[in-house]
Amino acid sequence: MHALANPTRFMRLAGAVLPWTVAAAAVFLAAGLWQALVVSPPDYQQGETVRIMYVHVPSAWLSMFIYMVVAAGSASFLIWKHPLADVAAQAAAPIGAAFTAMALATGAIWGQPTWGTWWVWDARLTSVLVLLFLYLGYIALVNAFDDPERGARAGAVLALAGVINIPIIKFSVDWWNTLHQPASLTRLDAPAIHSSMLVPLLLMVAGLFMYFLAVLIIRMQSAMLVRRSRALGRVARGTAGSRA
Amino acid sequence: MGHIHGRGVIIGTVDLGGHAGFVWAAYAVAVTVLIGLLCLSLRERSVRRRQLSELEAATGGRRRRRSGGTRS
Repeated sequence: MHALANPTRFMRLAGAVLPWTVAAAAVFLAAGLWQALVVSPPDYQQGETVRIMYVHVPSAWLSMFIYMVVAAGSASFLIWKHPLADVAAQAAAPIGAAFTAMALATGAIWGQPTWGTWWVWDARLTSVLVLLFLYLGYIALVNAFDDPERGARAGAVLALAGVINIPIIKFSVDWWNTLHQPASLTRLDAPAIHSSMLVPLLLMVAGLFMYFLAVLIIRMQSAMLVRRSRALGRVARGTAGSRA
Repeated sequence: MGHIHGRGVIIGTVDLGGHAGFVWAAYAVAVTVLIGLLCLSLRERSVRRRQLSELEAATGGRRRRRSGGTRS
């Protein structure tokens, strides 16, 4: 693990891994979409609208998982000053925001035929909206300073403070009386979902997870290029200053 | 079940009944977000690569000119 904290070594490995994550994402998503739209049965209550679950649930799970990646990267950056941890956190945040927006939008579209409303201010929906604002706040904060180091530190503190929202999202359906249904899959006993629906759901989760890894690597490569440009710019300015 | 009209070919129309509009809208949102984010990320990486190579060429060129000056 420590060897991966070396940016050059990590980026060499990430470049080698990237084509495999892209290929895995394509395979899992193709299989998942086929299963979700064609093979899986309609729900006995919801009918065909249950197919929205195969994009809504994976995006909601990933929105929370990615936030934990951002928080872990932020903690690692603040405590151990790992240069890559901050790069990973900042690269993951826009992907997490996109997945959160996707979960909210697909949830609203699913809510209209199922609940008869696009939106309701219940604990689950509101806490996921707060998650989106946390992502947007983090992104705005890290870019609000002229000194990138200060922006990274301020963003990392916000990201760590926002972790409190993750258990609130997870347990909101148990703690409060919500319109949103309780957990069907992540339960201590057996999942309350038939295998004909579980298989496409897990395929979509795997596909979107691989997509996340691929885009994360691409965004980390961009961030490393920016850092090299900044370092080169500093050297060039230093050389010019010493000549003056 | 979503039905494929045609003879088992992958390209076909999936019949999702009366709520098809909601299902397709959700998948359209998901595809738009995923492809949009991927395209933005790839474009940003190519812009950053170009900026770095331009900077390297500029600073490298200056160094070459300086080293050339000392040789002559």
